[in-house]
Amino acid sequence: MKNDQRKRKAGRKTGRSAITRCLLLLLLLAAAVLPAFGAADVPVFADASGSPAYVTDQQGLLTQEEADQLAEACGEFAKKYDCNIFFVSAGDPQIGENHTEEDDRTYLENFNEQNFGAGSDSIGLLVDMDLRYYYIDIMGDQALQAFTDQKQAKLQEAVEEELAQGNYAQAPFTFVDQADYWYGRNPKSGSYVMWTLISIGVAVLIMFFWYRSAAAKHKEQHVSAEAAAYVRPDSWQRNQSQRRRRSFLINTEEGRQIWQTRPINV
Amino acid sequence: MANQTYKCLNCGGELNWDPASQKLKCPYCGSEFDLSVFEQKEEKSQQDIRNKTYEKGASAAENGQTRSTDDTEVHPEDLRVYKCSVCGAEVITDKTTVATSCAFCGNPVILEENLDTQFHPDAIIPFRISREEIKGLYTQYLKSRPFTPRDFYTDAHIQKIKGVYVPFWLYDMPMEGHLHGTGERVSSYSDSNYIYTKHDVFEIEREGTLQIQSLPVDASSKMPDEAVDSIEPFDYKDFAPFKMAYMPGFFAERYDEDASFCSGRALKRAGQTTVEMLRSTVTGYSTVTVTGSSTGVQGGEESMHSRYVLMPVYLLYTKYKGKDYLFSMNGQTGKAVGNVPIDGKKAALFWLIRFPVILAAALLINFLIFA
Repeated sequence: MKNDQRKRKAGRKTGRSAITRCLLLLLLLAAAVLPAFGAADVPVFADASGSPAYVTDQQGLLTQEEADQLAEACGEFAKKYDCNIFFVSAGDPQIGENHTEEDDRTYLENFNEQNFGAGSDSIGLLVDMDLRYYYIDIMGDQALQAFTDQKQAKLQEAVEEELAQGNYAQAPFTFVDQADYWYGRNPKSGSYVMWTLISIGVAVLIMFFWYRSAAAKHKEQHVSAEAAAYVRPDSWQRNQSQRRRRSFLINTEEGRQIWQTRPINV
Repeated sequence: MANQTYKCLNCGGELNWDPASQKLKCPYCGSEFDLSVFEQKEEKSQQDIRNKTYEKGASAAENGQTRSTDDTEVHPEDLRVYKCSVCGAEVITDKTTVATSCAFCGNPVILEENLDTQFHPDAIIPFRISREEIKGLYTQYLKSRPFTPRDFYTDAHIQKIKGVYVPFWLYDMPMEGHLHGTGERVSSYSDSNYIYTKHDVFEIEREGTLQIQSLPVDASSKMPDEAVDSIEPFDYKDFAPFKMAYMPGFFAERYDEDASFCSGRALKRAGQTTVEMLRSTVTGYSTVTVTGSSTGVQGGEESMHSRYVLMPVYLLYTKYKGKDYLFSMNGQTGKAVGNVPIDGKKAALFWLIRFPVILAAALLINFLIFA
C-alpha cells in the first residue's frame, strides 16, 4: 500500500517535472521568439540589425527620409557626447489598450534600459499620439548630471511648443537640437572648458583695454599737425574739375564665377 | 640795477600781476592798482629800452658762475648776471629770460635788456588763471589720472608750477593748394544672363586757396612743441598791447627762434589743413585715391606775415625716476595737458582690485549659461 502510494507519488512527481520542463521550454522559446516579434513592429533601426534604436516611429509621425535624418542626428549626438539619444512614438498597439500616462513612462524607461543597457547614459523622447502625451526619460550618471532640472525644463518647453503647434515631425528634431545645445553647456563638457578659457580671455582683454584707456590719460601732449582752427572764415575758395579717364564693364554670370572685363571707349 | 619793478603806492611793497582782478596787486597790504596808474613808469621804461640805458647782463661764466638762481636749465655759457633792484642780490638767469624772480628776496625782476627793440612783443595775453585756482585745477587734473604717484599731490610739488609768458610767432598766410587723384564710381545692372558692373574712373583735380590767420608757433627752443601745441587755442580777444606791468610775479621768455626759423612749422601745419580741406571736397565716389598734392603760400613766403606775442602758460617740470615729465596749462583758458608718470604700485593695485571682479563676473556669466 505504502509502495503503491510511493509509486503514485513518484508518478505524479515525474508528471509535474515534465510539465515544469515543458513550461521552461515554452518560456525559453517565448524569450527567444517574442523579442523577434516585438522587433518586427519596429520599422526603423530595429535592435535585430545590431544598430542602436535611435528612431522607433511606431505611429508614423516621420517619413522615411525624416527618420533617417533624425537617426543620423542622434548618432552624431551619441558620438559627440558618448550619450545615446532616441525617439519613440508609441500608442495603444504597443503599450496596451486603455493604457495610462504611467504606462507610457514605464514603457519608455523599459525601452531605454532594454535598448541601451541599464545605467548607461541615454536620453529618450516618447510621443504617444493616442494619449496626446509625451515623456522624456534620462538615464545614466553623466546624462543626469548634464541635464539639470532647469535644462530638463528647457528641453520640455521646446518639445512641448512644437507638439502644441502640431509640428509632430519637427518635435524630435527640436528635441535632439536642444539636447545638443544644453549638453554642450555641461560644466564637464569640452565646450564648457573652452568657454571658460574664452571668458578668462575676455576678462583679460577688458582689463587690458580699461588699463590702456586709463594709462593713455597719462600721456596726452602731442604736436599739432594741422591748423583748421586758424582758417579765416569765408576765406576758402576752390576750383574743381573731373575728367573721365576710362570705363569698363565686368560681366558676372551668376553661379559660374566667370568674370569678363570689357573696356568701354569714352 | 636798471631792471624794472612796480612798487605799491601805499606800502612800498613789490606789486604782482593779479590774474583774478586783472590789476597789479600788493601781496603785503592787498592794494590793487590799475595799469593806467603806472603809464608814466611804463613810458619811462620804453624810453630806457629805446635809449638802451637798461642794465646789461654780464656773462655768468666769466664771473665764475655756473648755475642759475631761478632753476633755468641752460648751458652755463648762456647765463647772465643781473642785480636785484630790491635787495641787490645777484640774479643769474638765462640770456633769453625776460621776467623772473630774485632767489633771495622773492621779488619780481623784469629784465629790460630782453625787451629790446627786436625782442619787444607786439602784444600779450595776460594771465587769467590765478595761482589760487591752479592748485584746484591741477589736483582735479591729477585725479582723473588714476596712476599718478603720490608725490605729485604734495603742496611742495604744486608750488613748483611756474607761470611763464611764452614767446610765440603768430603767422598770417594766404595758402594755396593743389590736389590730384582718381575717383571711381561703380554702378550695377543685370539681365537674365549677366550682372553688369560698370566702373567709371575719373581724374580729379582740386585747387583752392584759404587764409590762415594768427597761427601760433612757439618761438622758444626751450619749450617742447607738444606742451604748447596741446593747450591751444588761446582766445585772441584778450590780446592787449604789451606792457611790462603784466609780468611781475611771472616768468617770461624772449624768443630765441626767429620768425623765419619757425615758419617751417607754420607752413607744415597750414599745408596739412589745405590738403585736408581740398580732400573734403572730393565726394560722390565709391573710392578715392589721392595721387599727389602740393601746397604753398600765395605769392611766395614774402606774403607771410608774423607778429611776436607773449601768451600765458603754466608749466611744471618734474623729474621722476630719471625721466622728465612736463605738465602745461593754458594760463588764459585753463586747458591742462600733461605727461604724468605711471606709478607701478597703483597700476598693480588697479589690476588686483578690478581683475578678480571682472574675471568672477565673466566666469559667473559663463557658468549661468551652462548651468
